Amino acid sequence: MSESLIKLDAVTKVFLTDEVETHALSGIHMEITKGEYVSIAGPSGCGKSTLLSILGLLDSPTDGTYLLNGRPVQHLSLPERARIRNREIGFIFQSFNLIGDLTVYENVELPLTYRGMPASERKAAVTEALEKVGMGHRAKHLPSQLSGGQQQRVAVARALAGKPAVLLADEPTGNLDSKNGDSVMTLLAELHKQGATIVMVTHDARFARHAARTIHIFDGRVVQEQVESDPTR
Amino acid sequence: MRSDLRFAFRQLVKAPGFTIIAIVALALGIATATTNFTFYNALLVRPLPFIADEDRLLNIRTYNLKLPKDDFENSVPDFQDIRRTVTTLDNSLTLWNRTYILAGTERPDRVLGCWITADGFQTLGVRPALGRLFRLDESKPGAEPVALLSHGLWQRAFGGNADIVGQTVKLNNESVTVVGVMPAGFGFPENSQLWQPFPDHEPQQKEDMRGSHGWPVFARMKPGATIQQVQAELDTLAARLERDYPKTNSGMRFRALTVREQATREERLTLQLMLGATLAVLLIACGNVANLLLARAAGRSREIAIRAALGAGRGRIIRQMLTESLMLAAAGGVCGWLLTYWETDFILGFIPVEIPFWIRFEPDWRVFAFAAAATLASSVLFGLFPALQAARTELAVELKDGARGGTGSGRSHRLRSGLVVAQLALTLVLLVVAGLMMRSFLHLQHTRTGFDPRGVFTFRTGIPPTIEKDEQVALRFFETAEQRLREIPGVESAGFLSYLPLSNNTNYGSFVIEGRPEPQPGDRPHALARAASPGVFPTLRIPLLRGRLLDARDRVDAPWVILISDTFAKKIFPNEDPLGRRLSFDHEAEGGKRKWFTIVGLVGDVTQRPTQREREPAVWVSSAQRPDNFMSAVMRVPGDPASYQRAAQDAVLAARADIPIYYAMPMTKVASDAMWSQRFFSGLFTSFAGIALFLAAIGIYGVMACSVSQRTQEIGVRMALGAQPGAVVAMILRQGLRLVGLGLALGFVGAWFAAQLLTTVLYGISPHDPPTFALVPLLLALVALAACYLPSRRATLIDPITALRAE
Ligand SMILES: Nc1ncnc2c1ncn2[C@@H]1O[C@H](COP(=O)(O)OP(=O)(O)OP(=O)(O)O)[C@@H](O)[C@H]1O
Ligand SMILES: [Mg+2]
Repeated sequence: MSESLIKLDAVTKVFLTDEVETHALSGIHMEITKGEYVSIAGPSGCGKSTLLSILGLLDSPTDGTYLLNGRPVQHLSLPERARIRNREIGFIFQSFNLIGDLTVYENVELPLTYRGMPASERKAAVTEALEKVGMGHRAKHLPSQLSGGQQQRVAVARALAGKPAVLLADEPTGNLDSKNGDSVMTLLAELHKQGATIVMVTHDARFARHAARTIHIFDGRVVQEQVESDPTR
Repeated sequence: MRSDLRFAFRQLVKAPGFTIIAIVALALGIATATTNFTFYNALLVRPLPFIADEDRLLNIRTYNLKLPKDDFENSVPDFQDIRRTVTTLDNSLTLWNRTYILAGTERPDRVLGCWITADGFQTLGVRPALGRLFRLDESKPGAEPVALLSHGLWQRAFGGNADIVGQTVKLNNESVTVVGVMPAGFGFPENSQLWQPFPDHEPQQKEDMRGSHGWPVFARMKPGATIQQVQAELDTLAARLERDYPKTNSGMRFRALTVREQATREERLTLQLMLGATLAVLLIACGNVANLLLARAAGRSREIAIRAALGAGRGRIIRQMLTESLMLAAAGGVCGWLLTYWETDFILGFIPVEIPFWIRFEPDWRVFAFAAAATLASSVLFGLFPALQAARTELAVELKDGARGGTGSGRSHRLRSGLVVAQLALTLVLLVVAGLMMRSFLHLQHTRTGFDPRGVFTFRTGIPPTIEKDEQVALRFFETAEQRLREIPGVESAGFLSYLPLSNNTNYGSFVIEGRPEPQPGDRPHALARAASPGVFPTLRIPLLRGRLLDARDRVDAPWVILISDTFAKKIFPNEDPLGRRLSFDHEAEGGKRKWFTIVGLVGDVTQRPTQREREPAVWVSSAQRPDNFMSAVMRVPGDPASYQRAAQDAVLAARADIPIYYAMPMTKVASDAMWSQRFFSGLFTSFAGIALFLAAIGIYGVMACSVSQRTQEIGVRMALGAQPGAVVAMILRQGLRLVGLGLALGFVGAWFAAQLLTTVLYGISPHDPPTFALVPLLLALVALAACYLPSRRATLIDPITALRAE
């Protein structure tokens, strides 16, 4: 067994709105090792996005421990969390979330600039990432000039340009038609083959099958873990 | 239309924060501009009250060709020549301000009045409220003395008794028949309360008084005549007088201006600058409202697109938007109008001097029209951009499914940024102007005056020559009064002098120095001449530099002595010892025989007029040798000088029961009143600039806050990608900094040129005063950055999870 990258222990998340408590997560235990491709499934409102936010350090758990690379991260300061997001985590969103005023190239470059990487290294990394997703020829375009599928490929390039420890994807195909969705899924599968760790939320059982392991969540709890026979092999 | 109104009202009520900020900004802008127009109107626009056809009423003054800017009043013989010979003039008048003592009331009452040419009121075109005007024969020798009362004096001293006409009153110990009462509010030339016909036999009328200037001349042009024709005739007359009377008239010319032009000569530029400044404040306020509307229009672009998709035409949409801005403007205008009343009163409270009768600050229809026009114009100004912007909305983009904010509003954002840059630039200009005026005022305030006003109480008193012809009686009165003042417990020293330092009164005399060739009459040096009793110097702490001060020896039968000021010594005796030298004033020469004063001492300069740009030579003579009828007392006292008013009054009444005191106040008040207009105008400009700063800060805050909220998603992405909070703040600040930098650069250039206009109203500093030009932009930059900092802080509080959630 390879070493554990992510380890959640009794993680809970309670939202308080207008004095109503919502228990989005109620005691999640989970372990993800380096190089794994995990999909998270479950009905709407069961806490998938919340879980992913916590994994991505966009949010912190109400209780429980989160070890990232063996280091507890649930009580870090804001700048520390920003630093970890920048270096260790790559995000892919359902709605792409590219910055409209920046070109494809600049969008991909963004996390690298926050890292203070020198320009020449940035250029190499951005070019490599864009080539990987097959968008090298569109570097100068603005996001509004691309199709949805192309935008999501750029988003994937942005997520992996910094060589993060883990890629987090929340319904990456949610805004795409099935053809574009397929191609993005193929892309992720390729990245996984090249060694990337991927955690992906998806509704679509078809896509969930790309992953080696699927974690089913219901009402804020892990209810079932299912290990697929690897369909690509 | 009704539905437009209803919808507009609903929109305004729906966003109360927006509506309130917009109305406050507009009310401030409109009130500030309207208040200033009230002043501008009162001095420069509104017709002079009581005066018929003011454009034909001229004020004629004399000047010396060598100093054409320093004009002065005329001599009576010159006036008579003007009256007799200038054919384009219908009629003319002269006058002489006099202090009257009105007996018969509880205490002797001092009344400011004047002699006026008997048919002067006909020349002005004013009619009495009661009784009649003077008859021409009432200025003849032996005529029964008569007087006209002002409405105010009639009310105050005679209880408004309608039978006053024909009664006699005791004026300066003379029985005078009241022939009429002038209309309420009339006080020509400024705040006169009493008028008497200028007697024909008065010595001033004699030919040998041609060198004695001090007589204002007003003249009415014949219908159809132009001021150029009058001026040409005056030039011809001046040339002839120069030929006939070289001793008094060489180099002398006359200048005719309309009464208004003359009366407002000094204020005109300041008033124009002020109106300009306040219109800038209004523009800045409009910029704010336009910005708020644009921000809202950006948020409403979808609503507008839906309206357009449903078939609303462009005109229809513009009308809807303009209805809204008109409603806002109306609300701002009404609040502004109410604020104007309060602001005008508030500002008038800072004017310590009596305002001449012809200046009326009550708002009239012109002020109202100005406020209405300002309101309407600003509603168009701030309403039009957003309306046009809204009408140009691109339907396809706006209604496209899933289109996310940020892309479609680029143009609107540029417009808003442009407005902010303009606001900042205008604000910088205003701030620099205010800064310069403030610095100039502070400079004046800290200029050495040469005496110590602290702990000194002062008042004025005297015996009118009609009560006591004999100057020696007046002299004895002052000496007794001075003695009594010294006996008041606590008083350390006291003295009388002809007029106070820092009062704008002046008396210049031309003179010759013994043993030097006599220059031509027009070339003679002038000096400020003051008469003083010995007690004045210790009381005002005027330093003796050399020789001796005046003392008890310098009486009328002793040799005549004179003290000269430091500047006098430097200018007139640059390389000589002045002590022991003698000088003689031209106006003291009688029948060709000169009277000589020996210089016995050298004293420090004492500032007479605070706005005098150069120190002027001055002399002091002994009031025992040159008695005056009216003098100012100064007394050095411990504690609060104002508390000595009663004791001072009693001391004077003890010296002579029929003589009142007036202008009683601490000397520090004299000093501060002397600079009231500098303090007043610099204070006003500073408050306008403060309002502008406030509005501009709101403006840039609004734009940045709106930009942050439009960029929520983008900022969320950046934070998810690991941007540090500091980097987000820096990014927003950089955006703000670009606007601030551009605004400051433009404003700096504008301020540089605007400052040039101020050259003549600034004292002691250059219009391009480096500290002002360095610190004021810094101040504005700091305020603007603070205004940007708040939205940038808010940007770091954006929750990336919320920002990134798919819609
Ligand atoms: N910021 C928040 N404040 C309050 N409640 C929240 C917040 N975010 C999520 N929730 C609640 O937490 C629960 C889990 O939400 P979450 O977004 O994780 O669901 P999900 O599994 O991603 O659903 P879907 O498949 O519809 O995206 C829901 O009941 C949701 O209403
Ligand atoms: Mg979700």
